Amino acid sequence: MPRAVKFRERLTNFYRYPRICGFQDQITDKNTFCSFLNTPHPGTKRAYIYIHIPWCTSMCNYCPFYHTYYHHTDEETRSRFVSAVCAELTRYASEAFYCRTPIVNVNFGGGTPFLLDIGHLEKILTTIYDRFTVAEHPVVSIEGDPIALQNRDKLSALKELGVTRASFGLQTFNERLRKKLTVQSTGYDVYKAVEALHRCGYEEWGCDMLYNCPEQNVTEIRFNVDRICELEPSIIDVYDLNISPNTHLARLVLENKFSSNPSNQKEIEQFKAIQETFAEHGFEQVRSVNFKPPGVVTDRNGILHQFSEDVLGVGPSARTFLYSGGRNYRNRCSTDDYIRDVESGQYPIEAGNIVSSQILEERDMMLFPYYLEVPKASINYLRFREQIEDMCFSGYVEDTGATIRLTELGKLWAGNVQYYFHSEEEKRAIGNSTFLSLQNRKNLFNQDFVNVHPSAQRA
Amino acid sequence: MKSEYTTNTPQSQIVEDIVRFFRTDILNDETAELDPRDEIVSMGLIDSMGIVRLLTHLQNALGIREFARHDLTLDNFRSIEKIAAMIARYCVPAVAGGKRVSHGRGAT
Repeated sequence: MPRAVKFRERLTNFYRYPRICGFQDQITDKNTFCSFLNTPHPGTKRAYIYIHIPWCTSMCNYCPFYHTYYHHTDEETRSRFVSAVCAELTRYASEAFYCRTPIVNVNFGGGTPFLLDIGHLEKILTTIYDRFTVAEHPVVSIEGDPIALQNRDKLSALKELGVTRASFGLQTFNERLRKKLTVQSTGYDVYKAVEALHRCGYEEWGCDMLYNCPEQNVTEIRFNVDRICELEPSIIDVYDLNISPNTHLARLVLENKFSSNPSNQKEIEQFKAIQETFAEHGFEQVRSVNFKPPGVVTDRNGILHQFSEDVLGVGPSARTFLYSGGRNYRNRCSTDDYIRDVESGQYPIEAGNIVSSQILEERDMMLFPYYLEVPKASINYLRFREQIEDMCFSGYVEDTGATIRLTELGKLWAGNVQYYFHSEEEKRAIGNSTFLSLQNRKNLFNQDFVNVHPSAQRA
Repeated sequence: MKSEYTTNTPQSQIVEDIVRFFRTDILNDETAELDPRDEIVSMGLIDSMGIVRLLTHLQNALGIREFARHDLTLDNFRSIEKIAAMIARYCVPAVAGGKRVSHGRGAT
């Protein structure tokens, strides 16, 4: 008999399974861990490359991704870094696993990769084109910020190098909130950046938007979505603000420095407003966190499919997930340690796990709510049948016969449905990671000190 | 720092307080049914920021600045019942004015 389940605390969406925890998943024997590289890629999954460039010109206080101040580095460090990235790429390309695998997608993220000199970006791209087999029309994407992206010369130069897409964090048009979130750019910069992208012929570009931030309400959310739709991006990512304990932002919230704090109720109201307002503009929800305008065709090799393909992560803190190699891992979350490992001839891997076929099944099941609808043939339906029936009985999922898909209620609670399909072992590991990070005063995301308040670090 | 809990505080009262906090602050639902034995993390009843808000609430209630690091474990926060049992270890004897006069096992 199916179980009735009622979700109450809205959980964030999950993109990674299994988790990688710097405390629980340290890798001590890299040789054994990397032995999968001796076997040619079977070709059942597409190959993506993600490159993490760890510098920004501002430290937005909500961002958990590994990054440091661009202006605290010098040209020598950046050159060494780029050489290390190229060396890491070259080493992977020489392995049997990658000798014939066509790369269909290259994505520069961070940090703000657009800040790198054009010469450095060209060096990295040239390494990829020369050392790997690259598909005929790869998707090449780069993350910027609204100030940096106004540089039309650089945008044009990157287009010449094969970059096809750009993205940036828009977050909100509320200038006061932007300041409190220590975002350097303004709404005016957003408009100038979009103008530059259009003038330089970037037909495809995307932006991120945050909700359930302190002091946000439904009126502001609707305003943000209205303005974003007017700009006509190819894709929009919407994220509920995740505040990691021990961070500057967590401290501000706990000390009531904002006139109003995020809450479960606000998160629900604001996501509903996001869905309604995008629908009013004719935008379609294509993933649990993505919306796109009518008529835009999403590339099969694009960003919307990355979680189900083989992604090689290069650069500090970059994450690799390889269905084909049964590997899930993360590079060192420190530029110095990353460069040191690469220069000494090692893969700069910090933590990770070997992923069995059973866990791959769990991952695919967990990802179903992200995709909104999946064919039953793409998951191990029999294994998860009882849980699927619970979700159907409870109104979050419907069984169409050939597929299972989220209902409108399920789209609101997508993260919770994902969590329902987590194994008990994985839930325990996530819980342990949370408390180990709390014990050690670290940011939950990478178990490092990114945006951690100095007083928490000293405790 | 003033503590709401002392060694005279029944564990049932601590459990009630935590349940009330969950209803009002985490779930925003005064009528939510909660079993103190429910596995709060496993059931997805609380996220990481919720855990921090809960810790802050409990630290304030106990009149302590922070919990000892070795107490910040998944096991101690597995259920409301378990949390209450851990809280009980931090309770101090009641004195006039309700002020803490000793440190218990936590840091102040």
